[in-house]
Amino acid sequence: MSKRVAFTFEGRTVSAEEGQSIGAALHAAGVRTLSWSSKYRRPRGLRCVRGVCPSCTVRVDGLPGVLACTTPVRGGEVVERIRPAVPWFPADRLSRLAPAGFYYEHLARQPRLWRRAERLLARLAGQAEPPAPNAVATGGFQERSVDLLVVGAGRTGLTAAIEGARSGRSVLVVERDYVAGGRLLSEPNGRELAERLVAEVRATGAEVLLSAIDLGVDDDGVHGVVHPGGLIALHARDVRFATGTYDREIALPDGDRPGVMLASGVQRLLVRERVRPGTRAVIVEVAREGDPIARLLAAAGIEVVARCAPGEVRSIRGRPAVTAIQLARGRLRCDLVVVAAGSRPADELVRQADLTKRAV
Amino acid sequence: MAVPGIARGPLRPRYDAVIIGGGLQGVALAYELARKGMRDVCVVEASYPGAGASGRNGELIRSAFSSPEWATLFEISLRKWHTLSAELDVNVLFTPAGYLVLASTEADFRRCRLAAERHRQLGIRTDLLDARSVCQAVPALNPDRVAGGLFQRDGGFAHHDAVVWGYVRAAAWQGVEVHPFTTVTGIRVEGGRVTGVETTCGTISTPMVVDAAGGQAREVAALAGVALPTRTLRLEAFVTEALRPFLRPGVALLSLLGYCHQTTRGEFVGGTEQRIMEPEDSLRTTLVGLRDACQKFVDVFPLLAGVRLIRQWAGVVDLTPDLAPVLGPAPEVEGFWLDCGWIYGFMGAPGAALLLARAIVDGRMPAPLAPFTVERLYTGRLIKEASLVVASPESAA
Repeated sequence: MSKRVAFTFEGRTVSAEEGQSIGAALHAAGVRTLSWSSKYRRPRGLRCVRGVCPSCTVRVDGLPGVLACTTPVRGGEVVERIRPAVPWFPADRLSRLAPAGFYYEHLARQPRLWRRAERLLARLAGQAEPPAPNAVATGGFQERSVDLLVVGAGRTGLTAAIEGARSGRSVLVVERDYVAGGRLLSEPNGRELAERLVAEVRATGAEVLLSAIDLGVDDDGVHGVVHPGGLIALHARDVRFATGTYDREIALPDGDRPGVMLASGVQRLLVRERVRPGTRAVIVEVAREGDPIARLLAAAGIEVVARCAPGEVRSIRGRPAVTAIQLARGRLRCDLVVVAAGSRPADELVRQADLTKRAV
Repeated sequence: MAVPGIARGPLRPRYDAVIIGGGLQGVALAYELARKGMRDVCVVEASYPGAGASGRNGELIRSAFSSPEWATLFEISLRKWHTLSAELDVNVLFTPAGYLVLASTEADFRRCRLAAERHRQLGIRTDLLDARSVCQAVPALNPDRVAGGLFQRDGGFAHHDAVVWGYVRAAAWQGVEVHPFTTVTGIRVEGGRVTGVETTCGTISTPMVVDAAGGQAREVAALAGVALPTRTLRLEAFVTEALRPFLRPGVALLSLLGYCHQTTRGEFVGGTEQRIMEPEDSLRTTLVGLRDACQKFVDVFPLLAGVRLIRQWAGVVDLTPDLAPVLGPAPEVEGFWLDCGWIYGFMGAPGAALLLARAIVDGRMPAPLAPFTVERLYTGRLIKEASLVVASPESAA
C-alpha cells in the first residue's frame, strides 16, 4: 500500500495515493466537472488526461490555469474550480438563441446597444481571478548549452538520451509530465521498463527535467524551456523530438461533457493512476481502434455496454456528466464514453521549427 | 463548401483592377473601389484573407497622433470605425473603450502634453491625465510606472477577423472577387504601363494593379520593377488565459514600447518591441521577445504575475524610413498603385481605403493622402511623427 496524501478541494478533504495527479484524485472522489467553457459555460472534465486540452483547468493554491490531470498531489494544497463570474446565468441553455458567432450577426446597426451588450458580455465572460500575489513563485532565468536536447521522456526519448550520453555528449531531456516514462507508465507492465530506462539515463549522466515544456526554437536555434524553476534559454547543438502521439478526436454531439474521454486518457487513469474511470462504458471507435482499451476495461471489471462507430451516435445525455448515450439502435445507460480514433503525431514542435514567412 | 465572400469560380482572364494582398488594406480597398462604381475588381491573396499582419496585430484604434499628417488620416479612419459595423452589416466588435497612452516617466509626460496641445489645434478630442487620474481610470496599473497619460475617449479596439471578413463579405456583395491561395508570380509591364498579373492560378490582364501585400509589399513592387526603400520588421504579440475584467481601454506604453488590451472574453493581448530589432522576415517568435514582454507587462500590471500565456505569435510588416504608410501611384509605372508600408495599418485601413479609392476612381489625390505618396521616400521629405510606439529603424542605430 503506497503512502497517502491529502488536499483540500472546495472545503472538503480529498485523499490521494502519492504520485497521483490532482485530476485523478478528484475523479476518484467523484468530482466530474472541473471547469466550465468560457462562452456557453458548458461543464468540462478530464478528457485527454495528458496535459494537452484545457478541460481540467483549476486553481491550485491561488494560481489559476493549472491542469489538474498533469499536476501531482503534493499534500496540503488548496484546489478550487474557476467558477463562472455570474453562476446563475444559463448560457448553455440560451445557446439555441445565440449560436456560435451570433455576435457577428447582431447589433451591427445598433452601436449604442452593442456597447452595453459588450460590457455585459465582458462581465459574464471573464472568469478567473488573477493569481494571489503569494501564489507566484519567482522563477529564475538561465542560459545553458547542451550537445543534445531530447524533448519527451517516453521510451523513445529515454533511449535517445542513453545513446547520446554514451557517445560522450551532454544530454538534457525535457518532459512535460511530472514523471518520466511517457506511455510506458500507462501500460500494464510498462512501469518497470520505464524505471529501468530512467535509472540508465541517470547512470549515463544525462539530466531529465520534469514538468518542463519546450516552447519552441527561435531563429538563432535557442529553445525556450519553461520548468518549475524558471525559464531556460537553451542552446542545443542537436535535437531529438520524441514527443509521441496525440489521440485523434471525433466531434460528437455534446461530446465535451464530463465523462467523454480519449482512449489514452482512460488508459492512464486505469493503469497509471489506478482510478476507475467509470462503471459502464461505451466505446466510440474508428475501425477497431477500441480493441486495446476494451480489453483493459474488461480486465478491470468495467462493463463495456457497447462499441459503435461515430455515425451511430445520435446524442450524449446527462447534465453535467454523461448518464446515457443515444445510438441509432437505442438508448444505453453509461457513465463513460471512450473516444478511440487512433493517434496522430505530436509534431507541433517540428512544424514550429519549420515556420517560414508565408502563413498558409 | 462555400465561404461567404470568397469567389466560387476560377480567375477570369480580365479585371478592371487587381489588388495583390487579401489583408485588411486589400479587401477594404476592393470594397471601396466597388462602391465607387468600379466593376470587376479582384483581390488575389497568397494565403487566406487576413493571414498576415491583419490577423496578427494588437487590434488597437486611435487617431491621437501628434503630426497633422497622421492625425488627419487616422481621424478619418476613426470616424469610419464608429459606423463600420452598420455600413458592412457585420458586427466587427468595435469596442470604443478609449485609448490610453501611458507616460511612465516625466519625459513621456512632456511628450503627452505636447501631443495634447497639437490635438487641440487639430480638433481631436483627447484628455491629458495626471498620474492620479490615470490610476483611478485603470486601477490595475503599478502606480510607480505612471507619470500621467493621454486619453482618447473614442478610441478603442475591434476584432480583426470580424473586420477582415466583414469587408470580404461586403465587397463580395458589391461584386468583388476574392481569390485565396493565389500567389502572384509576376507583374506584366509594357511601355511603362501595367498590363497584367501572373499568378499560380493563371494570368490576368488588367490596366490597374494595387500592391497591398503587407509584409511582402517590397517583393511584389519589385515584380513591377518598382524599388521600395522599405525594410521588413518582425513584431511579436501574445495572449494570456482569460481573467475577470480588469482593463477597459486599450493602452500604449510610450517609452516602454508596448501595447495591450483586454478582450471581451477576458484574455490580455499585448506586444512589445525591443529598442534594437534586426530586420527579420521569419514568423518564429523569440525568447528575447517573450522575456521582454513578460517583464514589462508584469512590471506595469503586477496582477499579471503568474498568469499563463496561452499563445505567442509573430507577424511581419514592411516598414518605410519614417514608419508612415505609402499611399498613391508609383510614378515609374502607370497603373501601379501602392497601399503598403503600414505599421498602424489595422486602425488606418478603413479611412485609407476610402481615400485611396477616391484617388483611383476620380483621378485626384484627396488632400489627406497627398503627404503619404512614395515620392517622399526618394526626396527625403519624411513625415515626422512623435507618438509612435515602435522602435524606429533610426533609433536602432
